Amino acid sequence: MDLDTTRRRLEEFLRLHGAGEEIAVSDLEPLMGGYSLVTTRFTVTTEAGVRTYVLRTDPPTDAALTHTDRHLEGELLRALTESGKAPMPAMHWTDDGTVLGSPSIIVDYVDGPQLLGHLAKVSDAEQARLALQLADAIATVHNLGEEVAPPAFVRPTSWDAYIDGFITEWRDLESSHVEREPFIRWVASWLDSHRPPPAPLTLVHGEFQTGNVMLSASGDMQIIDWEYAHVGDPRIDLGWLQQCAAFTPPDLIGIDPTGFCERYCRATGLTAELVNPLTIAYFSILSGAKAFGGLLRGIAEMANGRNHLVTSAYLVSALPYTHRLWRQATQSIEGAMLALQADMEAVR
Amino acid sequence: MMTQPSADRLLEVVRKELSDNLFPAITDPQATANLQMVLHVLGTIGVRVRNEIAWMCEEVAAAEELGASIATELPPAGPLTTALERLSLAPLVSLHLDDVAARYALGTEVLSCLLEQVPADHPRRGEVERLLDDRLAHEVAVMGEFALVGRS
Repeated sequence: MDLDTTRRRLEEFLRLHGAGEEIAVSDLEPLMGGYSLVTTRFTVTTEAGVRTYVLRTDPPTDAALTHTDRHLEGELLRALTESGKAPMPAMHWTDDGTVLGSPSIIVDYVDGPQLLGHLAKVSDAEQARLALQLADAIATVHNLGEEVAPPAFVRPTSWDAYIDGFITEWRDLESSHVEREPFIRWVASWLDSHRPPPAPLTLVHGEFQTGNVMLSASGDMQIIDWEYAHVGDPRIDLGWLQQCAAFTPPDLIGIDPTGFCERYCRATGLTAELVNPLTIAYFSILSGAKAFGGLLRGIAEMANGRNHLVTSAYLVSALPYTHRLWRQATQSIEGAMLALQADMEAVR
Repeated sequence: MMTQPSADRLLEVVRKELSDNLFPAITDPQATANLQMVLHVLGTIGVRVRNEIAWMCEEVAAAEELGASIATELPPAGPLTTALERLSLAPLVSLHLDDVAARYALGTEVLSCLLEQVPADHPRRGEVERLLDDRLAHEVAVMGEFALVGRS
């Protein structure tokens, strides 16, 4: 959809939502960074003043890398906005596509840098400070509990059922892919046989990474892009944060893994047995089933001629990159476990 | 047919033209990111055209040999036995890519069954893991340097 059409539709939409006849939408600018949704910043001028928002909308079907539910995301963002406790830009409106052309969400624009880009411009010491601030930010989300998630959200029946869901998802992903994928078959078996102790389930972001964190003008962290939010193990967010850092460094957990875990544990009340570098490494692999699975489907659709995206062609290389990460992570966990066993036997 | 210049050399020339002459002329950030992706994809194709037929044949042969050897030590009539039978019933009929890839899929299933069925404490587990690492080495050679475009 061209920007002028989007502008006219936004004006019509906002009039329908009480903005008055004297409304002007201007300065539309596509925002780079996300591979899944079309994101556009725009300014609204009314009698009440000037304000900037962000429109998140589904791309056309043949240009979609992943498929998520805007309605469900909208319900969650409404609940989080009403709670006033989540570190996120407030959501104002949703549209099922009737006026805006496709399912959409409109949220406040954060007038500050994306954390990922900002990290490249600051000192090591500032990165270390931001890492701890990030631990606090995601702990705030996890402290909201599962109660804040709307009724439409699926509640796992148990922690094991939650983990089983991911492992099944990995296996289903492999069996429905355009070709056989031995790394997924191997990693699913490995995840099944190396489960960490269970943690209480809560609301999780589902795609927590520095690319989805904005810094406001006052330095507060605002978490965006909640399309993969669900009720789950909080370590899934820490694992995904670390997994993404392997693609887009720096690794904020890796700066001081113990310090990060201690800060997070202090903020959530979870123990070091539950949240430590090894359990985060486990979840760094497990967490891939959600977003990486969508990526794999995008690649499969390109292979079958159902999408035409150079991004999908390019992201074929994300597969071997991830395979290598899995091998390194599992070898590191197994090495640490062997060392721990040897220490325990030496003590005996 | 002619073999010179090779396919990967032709791709290299195209990549250089895009990189040296077209890339600097582009100012649109999305187009710049897309061109970076195109350059990366062309690089991966260069490695594939040079190697993929040979690598697929070698990987299938290794999986078949190890699978047949270990199958005798595992319970009979399991998924590994089935995968090996399917592979043995599909001899390589040509070196055309589609034929090689079809057999590679069967060999991959043998490898997957080995990874799932050979226990972690089995004395030959290391050999199975090495097959996976050999496959990874080929994948990484195709991938080359990789860092997400447009995410920093």
